[in-house]
Amino acid sequence: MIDLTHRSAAECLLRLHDERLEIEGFQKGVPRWCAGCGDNAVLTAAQRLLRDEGLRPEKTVFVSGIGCSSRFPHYMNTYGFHGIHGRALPVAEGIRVARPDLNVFVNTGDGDSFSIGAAHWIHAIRYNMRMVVMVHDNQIYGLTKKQASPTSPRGTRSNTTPRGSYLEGLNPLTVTLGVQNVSFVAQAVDWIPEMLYDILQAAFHHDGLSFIRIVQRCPEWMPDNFDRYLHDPSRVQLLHHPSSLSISSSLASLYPSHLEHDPSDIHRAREIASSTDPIPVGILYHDPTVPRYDEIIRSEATHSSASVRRLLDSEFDKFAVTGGGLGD
Amino acid sequence: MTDTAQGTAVATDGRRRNDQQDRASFYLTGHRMDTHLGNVEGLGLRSAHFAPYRRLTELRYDYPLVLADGPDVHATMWSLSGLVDDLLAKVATGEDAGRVRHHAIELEREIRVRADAGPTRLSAAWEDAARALLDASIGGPDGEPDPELADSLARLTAARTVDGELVTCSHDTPREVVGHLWGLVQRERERHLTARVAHLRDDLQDILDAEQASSPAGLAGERLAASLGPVVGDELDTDALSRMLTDKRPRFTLSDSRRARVRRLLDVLTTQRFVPSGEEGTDTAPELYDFVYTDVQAALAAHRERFAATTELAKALVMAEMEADGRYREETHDALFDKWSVADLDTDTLELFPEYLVRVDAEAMTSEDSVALLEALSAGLPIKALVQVNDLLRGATQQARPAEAGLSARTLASAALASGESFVMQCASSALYHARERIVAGSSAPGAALFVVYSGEGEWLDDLPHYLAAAAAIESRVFPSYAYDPAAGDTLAERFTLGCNPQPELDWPVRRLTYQDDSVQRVALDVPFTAADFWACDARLAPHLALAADDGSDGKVVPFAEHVASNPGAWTGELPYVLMISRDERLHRVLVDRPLIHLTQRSVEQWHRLQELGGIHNSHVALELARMRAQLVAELAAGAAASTAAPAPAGAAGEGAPEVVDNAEDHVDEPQAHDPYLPWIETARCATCNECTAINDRMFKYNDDRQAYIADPDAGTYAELVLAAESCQVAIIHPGQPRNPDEPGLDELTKRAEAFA
Ligand SMILES: Cc1ncc(C[n+]2csc(CCOP(=O)(O)OP(=O)(O)O)c2C)c(N)n1
Ligand code: SF4
Ligand code: SF4
Ligand SMILES: [Mg+2]
Repeated sequence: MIDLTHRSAAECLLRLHDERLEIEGFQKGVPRWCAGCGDNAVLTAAQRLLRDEGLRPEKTVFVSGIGCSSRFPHYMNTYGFHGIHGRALPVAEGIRVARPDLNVFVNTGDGDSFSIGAAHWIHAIRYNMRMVVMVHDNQIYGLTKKQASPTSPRGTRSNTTPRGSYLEGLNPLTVTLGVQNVSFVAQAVDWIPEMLYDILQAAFHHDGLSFIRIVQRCPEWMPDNFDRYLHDPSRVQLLHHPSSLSISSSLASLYPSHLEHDPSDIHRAREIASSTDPIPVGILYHDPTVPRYDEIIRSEATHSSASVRRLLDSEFDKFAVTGGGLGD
Repeated sequence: MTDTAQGTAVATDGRRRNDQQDRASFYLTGHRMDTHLGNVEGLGLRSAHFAPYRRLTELRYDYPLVLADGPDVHATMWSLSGLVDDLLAKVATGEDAGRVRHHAIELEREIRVRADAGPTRLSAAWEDAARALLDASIGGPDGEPDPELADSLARLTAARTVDGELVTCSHDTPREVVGHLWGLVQRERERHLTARVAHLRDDLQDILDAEQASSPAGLAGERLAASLGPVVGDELDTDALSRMLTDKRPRFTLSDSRRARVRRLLDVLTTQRFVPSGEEGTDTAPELYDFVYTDVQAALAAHRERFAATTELAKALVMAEMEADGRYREETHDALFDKWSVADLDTDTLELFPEYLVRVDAEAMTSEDSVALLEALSAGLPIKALVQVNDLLRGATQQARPAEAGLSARTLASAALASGESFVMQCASSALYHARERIVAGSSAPGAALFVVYSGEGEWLDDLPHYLAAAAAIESRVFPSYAYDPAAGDTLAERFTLGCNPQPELDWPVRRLTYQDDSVQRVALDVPFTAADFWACDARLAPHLALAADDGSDGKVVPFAEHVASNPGAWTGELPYVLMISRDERLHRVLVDRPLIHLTQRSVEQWHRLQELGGIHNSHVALELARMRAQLVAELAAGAAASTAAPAPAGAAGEGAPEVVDNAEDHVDEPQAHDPYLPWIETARCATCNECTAINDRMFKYNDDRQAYIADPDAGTYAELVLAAESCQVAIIHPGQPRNPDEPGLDELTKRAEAFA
């Protein structure tokens, strides 16, 4: 006999046949990352997002290139594509065009996207196809056991730079913010799970390419790299705004440095992005009106099954407001 | 200023003057004096809560149901989605699970489309849907169907063992579902009775045969020869044997009265019309009774008419059993059975009898029907009644109820509930699948049972799908679901359950609505699903609604739930509104007048009574709690007074401050204090880095959000705790104090732990 008082049954009305999965439903295998690696935090945030958004594994794909961070798709119980070095983005774009019904996520490393994959990065930003791009930036090639990457800070000693790297590290945020058609740029750090999650969620809801640089600890090769931020929370600056993220009171008390920033202001966004100490965390730039290439090229073909599918999806958001506006 | 503009200004002025009057008049009576409060008729309004469910075929939900063939009452009804999930759990296990799942969902959608198109069996819809999918996957003119799709479908098809009628949510659904589940229970009953009748008939026949066999005729030479068969043949003189067996030997004979009784019992068992008696196909086979009715009084009349036959058969069963065991003593039992009626028979025997199912529309019941049904319920007659409600407005107001009409179904259910003697269940079609075990329980309950089910039918609902109307009736508490089962225990807590009403502790469940505002921003609002949201979909109530003006010129408007919470019914210058969507998919504020508020308040009051029955906001409990709280506070205060009067030893007072009772609510914002001795983790800050869990995965575990907490501080050593605290990059592990004083190296460990205190 079923117990009608049980919560699951109590929610039965208007509730559709429960399709939602718990977090275990999105887990696969045991991650082979080192204990303490910041990639774990990104994985958890992604799994929580999929659970909370009620995404179906068969409607979701994670695409990656090569690197520690690029092992990500192996640990997600969804579709996945562990690609070739530097080519996560073109693969993801292909999927986006061929299967617009899928939720596309990209996980890539600093080496993967800013050295060998740099060309794809720039053009992907410009093409602005709907997907969430997470760059796990540990400022090193982790998988190949410590070679300097474009984002490594000057003076980083590594196998390729035994006397310390000579050049200033590349700032991926300012570069991205300089590309035409950029529509969403954010920065997260792996050790503030709440912000990481909120940023990922906002990115997921953005209708275009969301670029998230995730400052990621590699305790194996860069053990003290971000210690200055970890040990002094005031060197992390949380961005907030009524039209962007808000900061919970518990977080506000832990991280005293806050900055109100309207993410529609690209000049201010570039300014904030150029700061490396304190390090800004939050949504730097957001413009939902930028055209998407994946939409433009499909706009003729309204009869494909994929576009029908998209129309159906958009049905839910379709109704406009009357009656003097409800937002007040 | 042009003439026209001036004219408009004057009109606006005039309008303003009348505004207040007009609004008050609308609010208090529903009458519109001026016309500017927009008429809602013809807009096809439905509650904004329905927005996400407009394309039901596209969604996975309980319907269609599969009324499965087969005798198992507990595996007899499936939701199509549940069935598909079940198949997937069996089939989609390997590498290609995702692909199979994808295909299964496509198949399910196709089947749903076919079920919606008309009555069909699962197997037929399944084959048709699978074929259509395969055909659609063929690429070119002479291409092959997608091999992966073909593979998925073949595997799913091979795994499917269930078949049966597909039932969508429509006017007939309550009838079909209750009929199907009741039918299974009934068949089970009939199977038992049939077996028992057959068995007793054999036993009685044996008694007669035995006498016959040991009679001179039975022991005659040729009969003996026939019984020995051809193998023995001529070697045996069967006539001599017959003489030996019959000569001077005591003979087994039945008394005349016993023989007559056994024959009479056999006759009763053979001619009874309750269950097949094994004479089927012969001319003498009696015509079986019908037990399914669409009229309460006809069913009761049939039950009354068959009263004598029931008594006779029940008596025959008991007597036949005694005969078969040789326990029947004429001197005592004759007199006893002469006077017996059904009332004297044990319930086990009576439970074997087929029962009556009445399926009737509440709207078709007369007052005589209602009375008769209530009497049947409290008398515990073997009758299970499904009263299907199609019109909830009928009976909700005096006007809406014709004088000769029977009790409204809701009143019927509460009256039956009040008598407390029979099984009562109220729910709506949308919840039938979840209530299936309840329906089986009610169908098998001893005595009478009442199922009151709202169908969601009605032309006044426009083209709102039955499923949504039914679900909305439950959501809005206009027709809450509940069940009362007297067989479930002795107390109300065991017997009564509030069914599947969402968020039962609230007056109305709160749902999140998401929509796009004028500036195309997504806006999310938490909006209660009120009774007004339900009634507003009823076209007959349109005069009680008005469209709020786009420009906000309708003065102060407030959300319906807010309005009734703060001001139940007096005119204070504000108008309550609900959010609705018109056919052209625009969101509107729809104003509600006071008569409609009254209607909603009645259902809220009824809901409160049900809540109490279900143990929610129970007034007795609340009183008792208040009394205990006062007592505790008084005791603590007395203790505190005593301790100030005569200083007690340290530690005895202090904790006894009276406000302890309310502590939890008062200080929610203060950081949680932690026992300095216990280890703990600032879980919300955990970055899931696996450091601590790699050190000891029994001590450190992840919660549902995959953030670490200390599951068992004794599952490891203090050294491990300190090591984990040091390894944790975000330094959120606090090792507390050592728990085992004998652990080696404690001095040094405690020193290292100080950094994480
Ligand atoms: C074409 C090609 N060139 C070089 C390599 C070697 N390689 C593997 S991973 C890697 C760098 C990965 O660095 P990053 O993207 O930062 O990932 P991390 O391991 O730090 O997460 C390189 C150069 C390769 N696999 N393929
Ligand atoms: S090497 Fe660095 S980036 Fe790679 S798994 Fe280990 S800690 Fe993580
Ligand atoms: S070591 Fe710290 S951050 Fe890592 S899993 Fe444990 S508690 Fe979480
Ligand atoms: Mg790297």
